[in-house]
Amino acid sequence: MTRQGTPIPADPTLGETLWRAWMEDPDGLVGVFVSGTGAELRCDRRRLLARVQGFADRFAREAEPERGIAAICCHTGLDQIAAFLGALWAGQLPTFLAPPSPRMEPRKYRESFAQMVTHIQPRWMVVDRLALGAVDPAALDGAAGCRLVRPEAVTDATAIRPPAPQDGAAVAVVQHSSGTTGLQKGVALSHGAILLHNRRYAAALDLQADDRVVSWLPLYHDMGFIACFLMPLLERIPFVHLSPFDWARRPALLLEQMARQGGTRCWLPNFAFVFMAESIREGHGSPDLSLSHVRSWIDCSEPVTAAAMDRFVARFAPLGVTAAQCGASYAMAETVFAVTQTPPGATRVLRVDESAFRQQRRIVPLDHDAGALGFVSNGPPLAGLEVRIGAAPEAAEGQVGEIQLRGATCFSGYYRRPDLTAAAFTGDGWYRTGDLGFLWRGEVYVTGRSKELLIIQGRNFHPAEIEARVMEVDGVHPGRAVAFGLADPASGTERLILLAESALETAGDRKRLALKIRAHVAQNLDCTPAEVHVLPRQWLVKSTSGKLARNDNRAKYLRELTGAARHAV
Amino acid sequence: MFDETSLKNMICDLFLDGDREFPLGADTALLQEGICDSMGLVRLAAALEAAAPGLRIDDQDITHDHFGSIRQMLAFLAGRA
Repeated sequence: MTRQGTPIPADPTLGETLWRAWMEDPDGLVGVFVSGTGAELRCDRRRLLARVQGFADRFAREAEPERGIAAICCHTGLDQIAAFLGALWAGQLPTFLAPPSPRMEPRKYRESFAQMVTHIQPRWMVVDRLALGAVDPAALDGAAGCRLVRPEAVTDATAIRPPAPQDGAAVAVVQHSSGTTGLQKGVALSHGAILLHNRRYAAALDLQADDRVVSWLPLYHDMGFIACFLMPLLERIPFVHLSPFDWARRPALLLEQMARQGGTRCWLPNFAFVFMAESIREGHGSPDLSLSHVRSWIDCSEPVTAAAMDRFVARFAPLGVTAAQCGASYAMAETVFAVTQTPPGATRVLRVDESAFRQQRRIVPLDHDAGALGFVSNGPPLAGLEVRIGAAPEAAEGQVGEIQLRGATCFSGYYRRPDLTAAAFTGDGWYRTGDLGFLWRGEVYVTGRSKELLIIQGRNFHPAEIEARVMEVDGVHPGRAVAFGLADPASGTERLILLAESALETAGDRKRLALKIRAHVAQNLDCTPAEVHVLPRQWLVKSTSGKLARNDNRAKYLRELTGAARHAV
Repeated sequence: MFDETSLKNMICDLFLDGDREFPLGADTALLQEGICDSMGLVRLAAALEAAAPGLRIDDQDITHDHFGSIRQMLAFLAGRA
């Protein structure tokens, strides 16, 4: 699992680093788990270690010379992180998987989960009581050598031991960026890359000993996993974890816990800034809530917009939120997490000439708003990480192209996918992000994507997987559906637009089919389309090779289905 | 305060791009039918409060049982009148 390129310096392992740090202060607070009703479970290092060792002892029963994957499918809480660290302690490879969403049809979740299990072939599946009903435990236990581990059956260890020795250059963890779909790639990260990233990111953030991270982010996503779980552990600062489901139902929970627990750092996808500003109503919650102590709200994991941060600041200024607290980061699992981070202080918006940007893919800064486009700076790259635009290293500042990366915090490869790993790098060893952007005065700006990927509320979707689901709906013409995303400044994320052809003729029949498509996509992918258009046969544009061309259909949609014409089809 | 039509219109405006002809029934399950997600229910509660001065919906009440469909919302709102 090693890639040719920059050698990773010899480093201790994650487990050794944590063990050493924790032995210095075994009673220190690791974190607080807060339920939807506000009930708290506080966990110190001694308690966590007893639980971690319990899981490690459990995994050791089936350990083999070759390391195995321990897939953790648990909800927010102590067992979720103890199972993960227990696998690390036992010298195995932990990975977090998404637990079932309440909206998803259990049968569909079970199918995609089984697909994931086939794909990653875990030796252990740790499934908590809440997730158990959705995963068909009988089929999992024993299938292809996989063992089901129920956290309730794991007892705390009475004797704790240091983690199993490992090579610091070896793969430590595998990260499945989002969802359970079989299309997801597992990003393999070495101990050395994670520890190096941690040092550099903590320095870029100017992380302090009295910092405290509050998060509702899922741990199967890089932002939750690295910034809100591994980094606080390694830096010995406490975290406060809330469940993503609880936050979505009650977004004020996050702000209350930032105030109550003295939270100083909070990472959020762009849409969350808008969602909280829009949905947390005046007069609800505690009037003396103060957030003036917060050091950073970091906007990350989908394109950062100035409008989203402005709305957040305007809405919560009475509680002490300021623009100077807001920052941005460009990050991805393939570089452990952060590529860039803005320095403390207000975020910078660069106004550029729109026609030079669109016609020449070139950045010409303007000092006025007329004819200007605004891009938010994501800050300079972390130390040791090189960023270039396009394949030409001499590409001038302000030239727009694909963002490519190189450095010791890059990933080791996609787990068991040497084909995808090879395709992700250029011939001269740079990682191709598939994002478009430019460099200006040493800072990275992201302008779009060259790869066909949708990022909806911080979650990644491939258009092909959505289209395949649309085509399963009875009444949609086989092979005739297109999915794409449109950036939506109002919600701060992308809107999912679905176009499907059908032989149905009346407007009423088509709208009923649109409703069926919505339901099918929601129940299979846990994703809500913003618009579904059922169209007459031959409406969708095909490329010369006979494939449905997403860009051409997107353009046709913008011409013909927006504005007054949209409900008439 | 609210009836089936006004709630339907509000949902169409918020989540269905203003298409008030959408075949949305009183019993259409908003989450399962892909009309909105649980964050959408929170936005809906905020829109209801904005449309009816004096109405106050506690965060704890924004549940699937109260907001899962138009009929459930009507029953919940009637209980608060």
